[in-house]
Amino acid sequence: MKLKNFFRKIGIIICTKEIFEDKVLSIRLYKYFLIGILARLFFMPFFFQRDLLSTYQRAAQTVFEGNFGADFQQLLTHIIHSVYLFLIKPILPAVNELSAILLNQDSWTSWIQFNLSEYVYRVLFLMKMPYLILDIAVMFIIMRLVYDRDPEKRLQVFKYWVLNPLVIFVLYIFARHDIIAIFITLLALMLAKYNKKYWAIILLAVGIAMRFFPIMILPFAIVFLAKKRRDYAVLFSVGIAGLIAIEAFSHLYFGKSVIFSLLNAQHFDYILSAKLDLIIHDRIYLFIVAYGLLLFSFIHKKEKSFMLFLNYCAMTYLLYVATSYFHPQYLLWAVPFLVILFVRKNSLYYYHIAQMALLMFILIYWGDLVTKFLIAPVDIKFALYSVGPIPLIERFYSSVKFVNIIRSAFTAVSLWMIYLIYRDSKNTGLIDSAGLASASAIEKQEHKKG
Amino acid sequence: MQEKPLKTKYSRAVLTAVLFAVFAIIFTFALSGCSGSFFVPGASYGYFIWEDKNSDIHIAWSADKKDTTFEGSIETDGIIYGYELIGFEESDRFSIDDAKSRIDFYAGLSAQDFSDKIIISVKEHSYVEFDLKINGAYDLSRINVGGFLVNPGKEVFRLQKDYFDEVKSMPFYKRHPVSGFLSKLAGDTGFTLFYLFLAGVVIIEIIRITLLRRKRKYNWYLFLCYGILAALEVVVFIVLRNR
Repeated sequence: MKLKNFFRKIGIIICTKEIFEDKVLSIRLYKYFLIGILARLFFMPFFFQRDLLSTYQRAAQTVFEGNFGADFQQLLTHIIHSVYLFLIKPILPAVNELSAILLNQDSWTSWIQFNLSEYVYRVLFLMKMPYLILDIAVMFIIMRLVYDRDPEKRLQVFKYWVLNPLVIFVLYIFARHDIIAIFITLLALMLAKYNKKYWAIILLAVGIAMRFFPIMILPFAIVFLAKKRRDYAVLFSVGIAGLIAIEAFSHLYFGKSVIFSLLNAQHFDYILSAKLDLIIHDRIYLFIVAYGLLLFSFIHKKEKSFMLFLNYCAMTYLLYVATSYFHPQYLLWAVPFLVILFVRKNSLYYYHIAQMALLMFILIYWGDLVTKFLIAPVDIKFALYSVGPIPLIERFYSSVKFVNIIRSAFTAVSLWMIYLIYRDSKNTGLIDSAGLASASAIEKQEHKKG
Repeated sequence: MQEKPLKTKYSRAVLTAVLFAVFAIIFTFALSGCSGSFFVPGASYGYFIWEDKNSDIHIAWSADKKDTTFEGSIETDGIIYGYELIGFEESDRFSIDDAKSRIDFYAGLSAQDFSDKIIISVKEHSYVEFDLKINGAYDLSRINVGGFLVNPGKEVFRLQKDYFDEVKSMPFYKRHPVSGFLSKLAGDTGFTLFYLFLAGVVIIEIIRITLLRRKRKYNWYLFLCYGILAALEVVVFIVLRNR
């Protein structure tokens, strides 16, 4: 009996009380989970993009050579990968051979050696394991974010994340580590939901220290969480504390600035990529204009529910990919917010699938490295000598024009999604975190209409 | 919210599977650029050699719209009793010796010139010997003889008379990319068996909660599923070890 109670408690912790106690819902949840895991397992050992190897090559410099500052720009992410590599070192096959590959500074030869390695499937499986663990954690956090009194909707949120092709592509085919910072960001949002404002912002700051993207929703989080004027200053200070801490550490340990190196890096220029040239040196950056408009719109919303806050997060990330140069994995940042919206507005899901399909063509921007070379572990010779998408398109039409037409369509889809979410947000202000409109708020609105 | 009818769900799943399969086939063809005699002129890069049903040998070359030269010789111990030049321009050169046993050629491709081809008819021969260069150098991985990535082992290589029949009868698992995939699975048998087991357990769980849950002989079917998985593991182990 005790054992049964113990497992019951575990079940409730994992998949919420309402779902666990409803046999139909719990079986459906288990089914989605298994299908999602199977899809992930299918891709885990066989595909990767060069950046995964680079991430672990930097970690190898720390683990095998003691060079702690191998990646000082993404220090926290680097530490996580280094610790993980250190932990799995005893179970890595042919560790001497692998360490030699990882420490090889020549990116082309190390990539070829890695793909030719007899143990490449096992190593890739192990390398992606932390992403799988965090992905599973995200599955169960994300369904807890909203719809507190509606287990059916929570289950749908779960399904939309678990079976999302973009999630599977970015984490298990493209193999990027964004899920680490997404996990931290969602934890921060969970705390924000329960009004633990300081802890929420501290955790968001940790997320910012890991990846640039949570900073985009920081102002929205502060506006949502601040109850008094003083809160704005305190929360903002806490928010940038993560970056300041990293900056201080970077100065003390490496003797150079991490923030300025990031600001001068190509990546920061991405958000400035869409611009309107006026005259002489006068220029307007479109993302910043639109971002400002979104922020003002949120500030002036009278009813700032948690759901509304999540809507604005979704719009922010969609705006980024719609107007700025981006890498495929950056689109993943919008997905946690979109899956919540799909439940309420199913049409958005189809636009998201269109985004995913268009992204597959936008990949062509980066050439072989992110297209045919993804299958290099399966057969490197096939990957190297088969026809890549660029020559194939060039045969019939300019590949640059083709991809940019697709890119423009992608922007159109993303902007339309923003419009749909914005329209939805007009009513979302009345919806609390439980996903239910309060009766008085609806009454007020109907009275106005009447 | 009501569950969708089972029929709709299954038809949707079948449609997804079909679309996925079509996409996979197109993707494989697009990537390979050459399966047997298939290549995309102006996109594929290298030599593509095959034999047609009249036993004529086709030697084609293609480049990805960049200035590239293809030169070499084709020699045989028999007689080249016929030949055809396709896509040759004035600047391209071709010669055949008096004994009709050797051909020399030099051809350039460019942004406007996607591909050239020589078709030869050979008789009374036991072999045909090739010496093929791209931009004045040997690149054996770019010479596809009878199939994509079926490359010669030597710079000057001979094809015996029945060579193309042998390549045609080559099973799929000895061709790229399947051969590369299987060789790594065989190289790390321990992981392969573990991976198969893991995927098998997940699949059995899906079957268990969808199809078997309400069956009368639930335990028997479950036992059968795990039995099949165990048998599969043994078969895979034997196949990979004897590869």
